Amino acid sequence: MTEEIKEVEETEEGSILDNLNRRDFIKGAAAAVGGVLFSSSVATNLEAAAHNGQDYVIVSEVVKGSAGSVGPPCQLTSTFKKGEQIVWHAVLFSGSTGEKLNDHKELMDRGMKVQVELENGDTVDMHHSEHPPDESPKIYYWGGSWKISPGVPTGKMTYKIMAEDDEGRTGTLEMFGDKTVDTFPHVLTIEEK
Amino acid sequence: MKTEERRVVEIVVRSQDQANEEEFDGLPVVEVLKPRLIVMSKGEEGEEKEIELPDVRLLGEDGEDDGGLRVHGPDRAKTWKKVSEWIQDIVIDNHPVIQEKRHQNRVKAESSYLYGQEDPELYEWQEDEEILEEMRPQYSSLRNQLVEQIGNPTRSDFAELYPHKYDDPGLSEQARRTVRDLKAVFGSDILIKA
Repeated sequence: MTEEIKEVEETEEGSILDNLNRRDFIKGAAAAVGGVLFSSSVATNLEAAAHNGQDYVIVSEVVKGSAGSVGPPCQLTSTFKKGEQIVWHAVLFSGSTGEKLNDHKELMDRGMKVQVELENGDTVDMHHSEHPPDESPKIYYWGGSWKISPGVPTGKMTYKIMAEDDEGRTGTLEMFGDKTVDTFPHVLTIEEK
Repeated sequence: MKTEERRVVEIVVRSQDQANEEEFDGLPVVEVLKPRLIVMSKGEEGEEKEIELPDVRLLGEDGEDDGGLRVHGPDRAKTWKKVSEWIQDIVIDNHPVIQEKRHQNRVKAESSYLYGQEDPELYEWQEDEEILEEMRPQYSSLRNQLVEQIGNPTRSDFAELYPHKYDDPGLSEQARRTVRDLKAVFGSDILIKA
């Protein structure tokens, strides 16, 4: 992880990441959710947000949850088996300043709501909380999960993540349609167990 | 998204004569069973839902004049597997002890993931025989109905359904995983030798 952080700092000087409190980001949410990949996503997502006039930039990842997991949970993946749990993690940034927005009280004061919308119309509320839940040191990020019922069809499934505050400021992470947006994983695959 | 509380009620099986001239191993398909799992939501209204299970084809036995029928093994495997998955979804995944153990798994896995700790030892519900024995009476009638209608699953049913890609002895990984879950859900005596 240390070498990866150094690489980000050296190669992305002068980019839109200059607007981020980079060290804090890498130490906090980015370190928690994927290091370099996550940091690079912020850059592309911020550019996309700037183009689209979005208020919030969403950076996310998808991991396997603990319920019904075949193999160890908490692994980055885009392929799930029926009975497993898809878990989304996300961190928000300001679309205008690039500042990371991860102070729990501030987010609650803003009335921030973050939700995943699946291709099939189901929605998953994400909650801003500490991880791991029972240990320290803790890291905050948004998390939400969806258990794959045995009745769900196999195949590809897309989703988008939306953020909105009490004043109507919004941000959307679309997995398709905009090549500048972080697209990992841009589509999930559901298989038979 | 809210999780609806449900309970499994029964399996109903309708049958349909086979009009097509379908065959397996030279045996004609003479009848198709269409099993359905009936699930009741636990709310005040108690809404009933019918879940489609895989079709089970019955084959005419070679040289049998008395109308003897044989269940197509991979179909039986698919149906037992699907019923096992629904029981996991509706009963097992909602047991409070299993939920608590999974929460502990999550804490361990997140700690490992976030802080690079060694791979943790994780709880596996399939090995918690005490809890499984406590739950099985809730759906033992389904097991009995299915045994009566299509027979016990066999190891060779799963070997045929999920063939081993290297064609060496033993079950493929998917077959082994399915058999492990099936034995955990219904008890190890559910699987019989073909």
